Amino acid sequence: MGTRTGIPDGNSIGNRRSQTAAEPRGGEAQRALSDGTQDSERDGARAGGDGSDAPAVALSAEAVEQAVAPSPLMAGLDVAVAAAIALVAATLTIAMPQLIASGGIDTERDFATLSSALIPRMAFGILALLSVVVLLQAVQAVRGGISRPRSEEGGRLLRAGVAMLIAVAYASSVTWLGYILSTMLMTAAMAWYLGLRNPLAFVPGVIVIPVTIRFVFERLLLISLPRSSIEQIGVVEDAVLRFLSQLLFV
Amino acid sequence: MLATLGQSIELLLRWDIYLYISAGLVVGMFVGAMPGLTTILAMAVLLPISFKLEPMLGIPFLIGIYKGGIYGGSIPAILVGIPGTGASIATTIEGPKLTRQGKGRKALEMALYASVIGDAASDILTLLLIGLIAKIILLIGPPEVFAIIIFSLILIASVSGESGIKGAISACIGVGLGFVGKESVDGEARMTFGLDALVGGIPLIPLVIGIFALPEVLEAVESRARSFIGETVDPRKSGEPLRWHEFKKSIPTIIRSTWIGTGIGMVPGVGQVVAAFIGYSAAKRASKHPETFGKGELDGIAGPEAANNAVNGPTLVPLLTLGIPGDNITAILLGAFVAHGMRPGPQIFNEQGALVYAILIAAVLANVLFVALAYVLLKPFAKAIQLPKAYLVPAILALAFVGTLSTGSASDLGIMMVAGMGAYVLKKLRYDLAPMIIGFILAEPIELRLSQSILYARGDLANFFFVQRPIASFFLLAGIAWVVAMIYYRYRRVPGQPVIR
Repeated sequence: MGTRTGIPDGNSIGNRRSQTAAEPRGGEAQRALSDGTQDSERDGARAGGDGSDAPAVALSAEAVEQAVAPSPLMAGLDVAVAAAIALVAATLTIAMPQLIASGGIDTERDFATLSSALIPRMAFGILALLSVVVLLQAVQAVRGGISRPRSEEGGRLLRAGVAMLIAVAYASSVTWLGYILSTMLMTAAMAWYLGLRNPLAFVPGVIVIPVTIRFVFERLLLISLPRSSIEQIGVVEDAVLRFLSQLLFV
Repeated sequence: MLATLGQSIELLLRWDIYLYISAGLVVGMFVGAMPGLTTILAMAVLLPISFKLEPMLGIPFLIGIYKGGIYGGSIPAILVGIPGTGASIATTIEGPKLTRQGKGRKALEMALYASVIGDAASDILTLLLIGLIAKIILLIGPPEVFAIIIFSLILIASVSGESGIKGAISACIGVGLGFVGKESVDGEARMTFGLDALVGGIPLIPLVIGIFALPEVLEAVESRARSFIGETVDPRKSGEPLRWHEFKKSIPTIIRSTWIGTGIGMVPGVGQVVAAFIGYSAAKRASKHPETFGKGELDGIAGPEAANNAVNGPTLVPLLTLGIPGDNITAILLGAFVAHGMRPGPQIFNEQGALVYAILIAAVLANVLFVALAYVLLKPFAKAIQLPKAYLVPAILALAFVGTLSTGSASDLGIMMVAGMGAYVLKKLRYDLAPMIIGFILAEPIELRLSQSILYARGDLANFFFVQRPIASFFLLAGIAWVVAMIYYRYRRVPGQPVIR
């Protein structure tokens, strides 16, 4: 819809615009798409023939196609994901009767009869067919060789991957270290990774974010969060919350 | 009806309702004002709070976030030309130009008043019509409901992203995930893969948080920029306040856009972005001075802002009368209704009418609080849009974990992480995630209504759907026609232009 009507998805526009402001030398094609789309929206809205202080951008068909086209990395990923979805959906369609864990009568598990397998099979069958269509389109895009001339996607994915690793470590440690300590470590790691190096700005955030969240959720909203399974840490957490409760009369 | 309304008003005579609505509005405006964050993120992360509250507090709290978020997006759209949410993209056409002319404050206030009027008027219209619509819907049976759900899913999948097929895949994945666990008709456990955690089905909260919060966190980290915007904002230099004569000139635009937004809000999947652009175009077409548009025109703020906020109320019509969420925000609201023991559908008005009307009246009253809060908080939020990501991203991740952990099951963290990673990859490949969560929520009604229809049909499903049930056949044929039209317009070749897929 966004490509055809010039009304893009809001989230992506917000992110694209902020990225544009932040990375003056990167992602020309993406910027061309983003700016081009916005300009076309504005031009469309200005159909009465008014002027504007913003320069109009006329994109050639090749420029549009190049801007719309994914980078080689994303085109490859598109193929892989479409193939994976198609494979999983086809497997589930075929194997659905075996995936019913309990109850049911075998004769009722035929494809044409109303059973627990019928409607999921229909849904996964449609999913498999649609994925094959996207797979063919993605393969065609890769073979067509249209890709953006410069791309920072590898670096961007790497940064997101590091953030994901921090999130996974956080998820693994939250029941062991408790909410406050694990959140302190996550906040410190993420803030440092995002470029915060000044100790005066760094330390208060690392302490205030977890303590405030735990206090608000546990004492005010009565949503309990994990206490550390290491007793010494748990005792400190309890003492901090008790102190804050007394301080704020909660 | 009058007795029900009387009971509703009694339910509203509590101060804490307004406290929670105000909290929701403030959170919504803050998140909406941050260009990298979205209203849906705030709703997903704070959904568990609403579960812990009684319905009369929890649902208005979420509605407050929704309303505040849609308006909050206009703050950076006006001040720096970066839309805080998709709904405010159209506002970036006039907003920054007005700011450069020293009329930023006028634009912000025009956006506020247009938003509140559009929102309140559409809420009142919804309140007046929803009971009648529910009575009509009571007359239809399972095949019609099934057909309407399928038609809505087709509509949502086809218009909500860049690719209709990817939208449909997203919806099918959601429906498939909704089939995990005990089946609604026979109670048989499906696709649990031997995991006890999946017998009860995939829980909504970790799935919603995973799909909507985690990808936003990862996308925020992708860029090296220190904050979501790179420009400096000084609210003190925003100029004079809006004068009455300036506002009076925009009243016809606000009324027109309210109607536009209300109409669009009733159609599932179309949403605020489209409403805002149509509102802007209509304002320009109706203007006596269309040449001023694009150069800094207050009417160009009033049009999109009234239209995008007027969508809010009517999206509750398909949600409450049919249980069909029109977008990802109403999908979360549906989850909240269900968690509070309120199953949206026509019967809800008979069974829990007083509570439903009280929530709708609270949505109308929220607009009064909205004006007061937004007026006071405009400047702080205008400043807050420059907050560094190094504080915001960890805080959001910590809140996302709190939301997931609030369910009391540590295994939900795993579901949230897996859903989040999958959603991030799909989002990078331009799959829209809204149809996924809507499909997930609609999986159970789809299975239930289709099973009932198959039983009614006694073996001749095509004859039953397309001959015996004209309303069902209308919606199914409309869905098929829509798909055919989408394929035609996608692949048709205009002379002299390339086919852009």
